[in-house]
Amino acid sequence: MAIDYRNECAVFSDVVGVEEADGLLEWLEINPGKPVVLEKCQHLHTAILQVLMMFKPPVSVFPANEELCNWLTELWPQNPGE
Amino acid sequence: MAKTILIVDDSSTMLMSVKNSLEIGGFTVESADDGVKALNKLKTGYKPDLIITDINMPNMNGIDLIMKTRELPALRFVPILVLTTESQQAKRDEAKKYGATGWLVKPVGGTDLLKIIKQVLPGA
Amino acid sequence: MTPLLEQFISESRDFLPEINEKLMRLETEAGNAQVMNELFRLVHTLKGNSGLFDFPEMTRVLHACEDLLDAVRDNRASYSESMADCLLEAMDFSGMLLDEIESSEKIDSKHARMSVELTASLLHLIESKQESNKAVGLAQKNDRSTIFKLPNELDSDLRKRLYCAIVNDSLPVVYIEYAPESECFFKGEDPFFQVRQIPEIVWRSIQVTSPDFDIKHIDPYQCGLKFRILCRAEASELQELFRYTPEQVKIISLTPEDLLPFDRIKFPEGIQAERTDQTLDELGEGEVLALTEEQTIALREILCAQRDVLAQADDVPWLKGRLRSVAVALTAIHRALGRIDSIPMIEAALNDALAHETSAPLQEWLEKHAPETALISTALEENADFEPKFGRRAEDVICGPKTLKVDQEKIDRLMALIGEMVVAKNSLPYLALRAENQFGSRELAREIKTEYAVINRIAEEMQDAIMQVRMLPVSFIFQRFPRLVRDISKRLGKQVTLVMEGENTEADKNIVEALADPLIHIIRNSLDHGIEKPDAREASGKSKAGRLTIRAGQESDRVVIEITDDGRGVDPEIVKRKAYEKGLIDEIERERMSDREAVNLVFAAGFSTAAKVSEISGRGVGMDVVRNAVEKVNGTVVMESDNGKGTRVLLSLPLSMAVTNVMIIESNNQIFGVPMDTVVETVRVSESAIRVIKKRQAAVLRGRIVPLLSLNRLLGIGTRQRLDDDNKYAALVVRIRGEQVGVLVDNFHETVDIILKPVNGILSGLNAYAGSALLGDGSVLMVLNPKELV
Repeated sequence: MAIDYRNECAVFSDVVGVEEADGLLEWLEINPGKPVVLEKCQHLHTAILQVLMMFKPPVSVFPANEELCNWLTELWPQNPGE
Repeated sequence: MAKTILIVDDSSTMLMSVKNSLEIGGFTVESADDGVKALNKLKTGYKPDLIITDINMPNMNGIDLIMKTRELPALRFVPILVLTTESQQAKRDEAKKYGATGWLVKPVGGTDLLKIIKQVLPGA
Repeated sequence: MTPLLEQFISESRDFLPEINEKLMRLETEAGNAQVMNELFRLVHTLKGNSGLFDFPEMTRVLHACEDLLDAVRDNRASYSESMADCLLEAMDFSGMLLDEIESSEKIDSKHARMSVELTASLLHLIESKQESNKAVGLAQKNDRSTIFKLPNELDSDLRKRLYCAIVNDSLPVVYIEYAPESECFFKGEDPFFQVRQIPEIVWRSIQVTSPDFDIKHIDPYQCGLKFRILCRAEASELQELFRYTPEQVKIISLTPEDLLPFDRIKFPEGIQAERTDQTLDELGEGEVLALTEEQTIALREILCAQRDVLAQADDVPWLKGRLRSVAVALTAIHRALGRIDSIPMIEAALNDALAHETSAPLQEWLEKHAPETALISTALEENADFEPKFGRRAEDVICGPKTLKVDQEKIDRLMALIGEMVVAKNSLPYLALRAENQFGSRELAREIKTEYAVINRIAEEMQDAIMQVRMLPVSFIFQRFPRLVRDISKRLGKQVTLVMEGENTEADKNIVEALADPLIHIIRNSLDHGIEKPDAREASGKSKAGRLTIRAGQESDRVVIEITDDGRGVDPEIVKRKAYEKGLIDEIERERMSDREAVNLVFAAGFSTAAKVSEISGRGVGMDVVRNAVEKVNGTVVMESDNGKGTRVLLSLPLSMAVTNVMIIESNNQIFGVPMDTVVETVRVSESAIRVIKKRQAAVLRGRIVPLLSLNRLLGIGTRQRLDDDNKYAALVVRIRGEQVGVLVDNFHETVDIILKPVNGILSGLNAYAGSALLGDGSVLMVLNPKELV
């Protein structure tokens, strides 16, 4: 599994595949407002991306992968206050 | 972990060639020489990260294999590339229609093959 | 040779006969879709495989075959005999190329022309429908007619920057809009991964498109996103990236006008025209402006004309003028097509051509850069009457599969080893003899003999087992016959039904391969001289179609092949007359000869019954070639004929030829071997029983007069044959072409199994010897060839 669901956040790593969309959807429904940690994420499938886009959970750490980070920061205008 | 690829082709020459290139590229490769054998492998829980299949094969052709593979819940989303030749536009379209992700144009040289796989297989 | 190439050759060799078989089957079962599909699959695979290597000559032809078969499958062309001819020809060509690849690992460039011609002939058979499709393909349009409206969100700073990039630095700017279909995840697609591969992104946007896409109703597996991107990559690169989903993506090369921040009206005609060059640049190389079908044809004609002009001889005073005019024509065409990049290349080629006073540089350029259609249409003109050029391949040496389950070389090695073992075991009787004679131990001698018997048995069984591995069904050569008979009878305007029986009969690989040539010769002969034309057959009360039967079977340790036709047969009187005219028989023989004997005169050297030398069989070599080839592997050939009703040729060959049983004889203190299969008996003839008839020695043996010849004299040895203690000569009676001849020798010895090795080098011209062999005691035995000796 490339998503580690913890008490206070969900930690993404490596390549998050399409089949994890269900699990993520469920977690986001149960844990509204909890952040996702994308630091070690190399790629997330479009299905995962659109689930994230729907729920817009706070991103506590953006991906270290610069190129992926560029995409996500477009979608999550960074708020320095958070 | 190395990504796994299933390659299906009735030509032993083609299997050997593609398998070689893929193994050089660091993939773990399984092969089957027709659609039925490939499907049997997939039904028993083998879940490759990518399937590459020929279209014209005895017993079960590539298009049927794609349709049957997509019916298996575990393999709904697996990328499938079909091996075609330059002239097979109609076959490609048909394969796409029934669930192929894309195609490879024979002959596929080693570097081209790896390049195309990197385009459809995240993390490869 | 790489294992992959070996695999390719071996697999292709399996494919070609199968393809041939199916091509011929379709001639009678044109509508059989299963055969058609199978055929297509085979050709397709073969072509695909050939593409793995650098064999363009082969791939090109197979590609055309595939296209043609595809057209037949889709009912765009109909299968015909002439199409079959063309396809068979292409397979023969491929087979020939395979032979060449196998021997040299490459294809000689001399085949390129043939390859192009064959390809042209094949494509010619695809009906004009296909042609018009191609013209449409050529006329692919750029889907830009108006100025493109960019997303409003683009800020003016970015617009300005990009505008400058295009205008000042002529960098490409491309807009991409990608709306994946909602089911795309179920095709293994990951659109986000695709767009992440777009290089040099300067602006990006991901939008949710689906209206009913909200937190409550989200189906994560339906894609509801749309991607819009501006990047600085070439449009062609992006088209390549999105080649699997072209219908879901818009890729637009931007012009500076597109980036101007106000709504645009269409440019007036004049302004468009001024910008022509730039627009053309965007089209990129290789893309052609929209042409009508008519224009495409005209273009092709012009290019062909240039090609023809260039093809003329260079040694004329007006060469330079000619070269310049061609260059002008080409430049004009390329300018009209918008391929302005090509113009400097044409200029360079022209300068090169003028400097060297040869049209070659321009020709090469044209070859490389002119649309392929031009090449094909010229080839077509030259080839309007397509003549098969490889048909004879069906009659050539037949290549059995080069691998059995294991590599043939390994079996050959086993064979050689068992051969050596058979010879080595032969030394045990010598040892027993020495034990008894030299060391006086009879008991030891007996024990050695007992051991020998055991080893002998095992060796024989082993030999037998290895022979079994080498056995090959005769179908390996039979499978070529339907094609051969079809081709030849067609050329001769005859109708022939071929019946083959006993294809599963097995014989040693070498024997089966040795059978190929003689059989082909006999079949050709039957078709050419035996079976009559349909009208002649009807006139003599036979069915229109002749019948040719080839039957194989095993009789004890020999394989027997019978070729029967119901043709006109062989007239013994004509044969006798011919033979007499040619000096093959004398007056007396002509009188006495039975019809059966007369018929077999056709196997005599220099005999040919056809009055005229025909293309099919009368190539100045007669059936004697058959006899020689068959006898080389210790076989026999006999012809029987029922005048007017048909001919039967019987071939009999040993099942194996690896081990030869020879009798050792002695003459002038030397030993020689004589193959046992020619030996009839050994007798002792007393000096007094020898008569001299017509200056020749002869003796009456078992009521027959047998001519006697001295081996010493035959070998040019000056001494007389030795008499034994009872004043008798040792006479070895051998059968040569059905006749018995007594060869006088000094003494007989035992018979041994030997591995006969052909005589090599300088000695190979000595026909008197069939070969040599190594004996158990290490000495060399020369084995005589009585047929050549006498």
